[in-house]
Amino acid sequence: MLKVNSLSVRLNSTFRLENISLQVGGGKICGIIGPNGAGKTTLLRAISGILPTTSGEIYLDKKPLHTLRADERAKYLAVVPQSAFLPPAFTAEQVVMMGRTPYLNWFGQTTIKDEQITQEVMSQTQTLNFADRLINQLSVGEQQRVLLARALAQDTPILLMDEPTSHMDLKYQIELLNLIQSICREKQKIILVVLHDINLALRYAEQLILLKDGRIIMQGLTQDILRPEILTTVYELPINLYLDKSQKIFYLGN
Amino acid sequence: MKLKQYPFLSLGVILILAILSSILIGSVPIPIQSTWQVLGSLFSSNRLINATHVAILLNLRLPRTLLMLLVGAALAGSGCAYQGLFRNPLADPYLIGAASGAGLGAVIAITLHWPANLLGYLSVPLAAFIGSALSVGLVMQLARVGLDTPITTLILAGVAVSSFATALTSLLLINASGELRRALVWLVGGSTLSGWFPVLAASPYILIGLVTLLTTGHQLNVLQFGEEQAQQLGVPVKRVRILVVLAATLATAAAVAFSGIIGFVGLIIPHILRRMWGADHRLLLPLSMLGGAAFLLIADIAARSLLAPQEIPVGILTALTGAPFFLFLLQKSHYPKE
Repeated sequence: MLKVNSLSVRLNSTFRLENISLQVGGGKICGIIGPNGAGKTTLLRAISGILPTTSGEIYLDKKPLHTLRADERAKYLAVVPQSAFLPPAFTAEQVVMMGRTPYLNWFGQTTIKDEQITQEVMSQTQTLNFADRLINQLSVGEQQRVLLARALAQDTPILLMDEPTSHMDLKYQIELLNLIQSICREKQKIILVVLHDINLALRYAEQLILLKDGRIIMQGLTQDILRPEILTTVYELPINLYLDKSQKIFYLGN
Repeated sequence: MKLKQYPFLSLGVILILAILSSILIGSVPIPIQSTWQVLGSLFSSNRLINATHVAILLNLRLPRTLLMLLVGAALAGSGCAYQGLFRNPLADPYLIGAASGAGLGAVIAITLHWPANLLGYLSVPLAAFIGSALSVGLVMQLARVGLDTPITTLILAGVAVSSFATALTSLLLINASGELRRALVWLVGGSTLSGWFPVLAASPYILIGLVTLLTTGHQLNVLQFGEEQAQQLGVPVKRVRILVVLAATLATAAAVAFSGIIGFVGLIIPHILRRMWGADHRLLLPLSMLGGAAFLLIADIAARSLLAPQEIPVGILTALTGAPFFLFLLQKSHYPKE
């Protein structure tokens, strides 16, 4: 169980996260949604420990994470970033191996165990067949799977993901989220995902955190939060709901 | 056999050839045989050798060769480290203020007229290091915007602080009337210091700096993903940054203190090697040191022999060859690699 107690962050004079408290259990994907500028990415960065917080505590069960050093914290919490910039120097396999950094010494010497784990997560994420290719030459979908593999190689109970499906074709979005869902269930990982697309949130997240202006508006089960009246207020756009054949609900503006 | 598959072998061979040429070539021709005898006499008790040759080889050429080797390795090694740390191929010791700060520190030390013994010599790189560390620290502080250090502000701050330090250096040089010529020659990278004192004085600083940098390859690799991701992957970013800056600045400062401002080595050598063998810093750091040493030795040989008996300051030569070559590389890089 990941527990965040009254976390506050002051990014600059105009933006802050105010008094964020949340609890996320393992085995079920928890989505973070909200309009642009709500603080979704900031929240992930703050939980991952790279932003100075003005107050708040972060616990994994009884273990405080906010007091840990970077190399210790990286054994409990891994982040899948948006694949914005990737250095051209490394192959997919080298990148995944970097996920082992918290367990390596200063020189980055790897052991057989590190290599085994790297192979394992690469086969899990289906990245083995381009293991030797340079990461910047891969497609966005492949890059995102490599970054997921790197986070899995960190072997942490907590995974944070920042819009893992952005810039992807629909097919790859579904593939990646299916993969994340199966990993989440299989390994009982605690997974927090920032999602831009409400439809995807509906389909994959079992619980949601709805953010706006740096505050949590609501959190709870997905079906309780994805309601037209709530979304219309938060997104300031009339949003309706439709049912498809499988009784899944899809939201659309107007 | 493709040379490209053996980076250490090919650079090692080039370096050894450069070292031999640097010992053999000079204004007084010394036959190879005699050179071997003199070098051999270091390890045996052969007394049948020419005393002038001994003096020239052991007191002039050998120390100068070693100094150029150390300085070249220091400049290219720290250039590579700065570029890795700041994730910018332009971040060389000159651009981020390390060299001009070192110059200022060294000139202050020189104008104080310390005695010309080993202790006096050792204090020059120390003063250069302090000047260098202060200016790099200032640049990093000025370049900081909120929580991170954008590359553009880093370069701008580096240029501003460098100009300021250079202006102060010039002011000191104008006032130091008697020392003016020597200091000016020193400033353009003409090594006027000869003998063993400069080598002995520079080597501890340079060796400590370079050995420290060699250990940081893996950390710099992870840092290529940016400071945020590196920290999320467990890299102690602050510690790595301080260590790399201190070590690279120490090596740069010692190099500048004894050979003046030698530009472009720290910029070009890592750049070329990165294009040839990729940006894995565990390889790139040692390769840059080898390549920088070989390049500066060759430049120094040319500086000594092109207009012999007059010497061209080696810094002028590296800039004259380096700048156009760098522009050529930039031009070529508009086309996709391979």
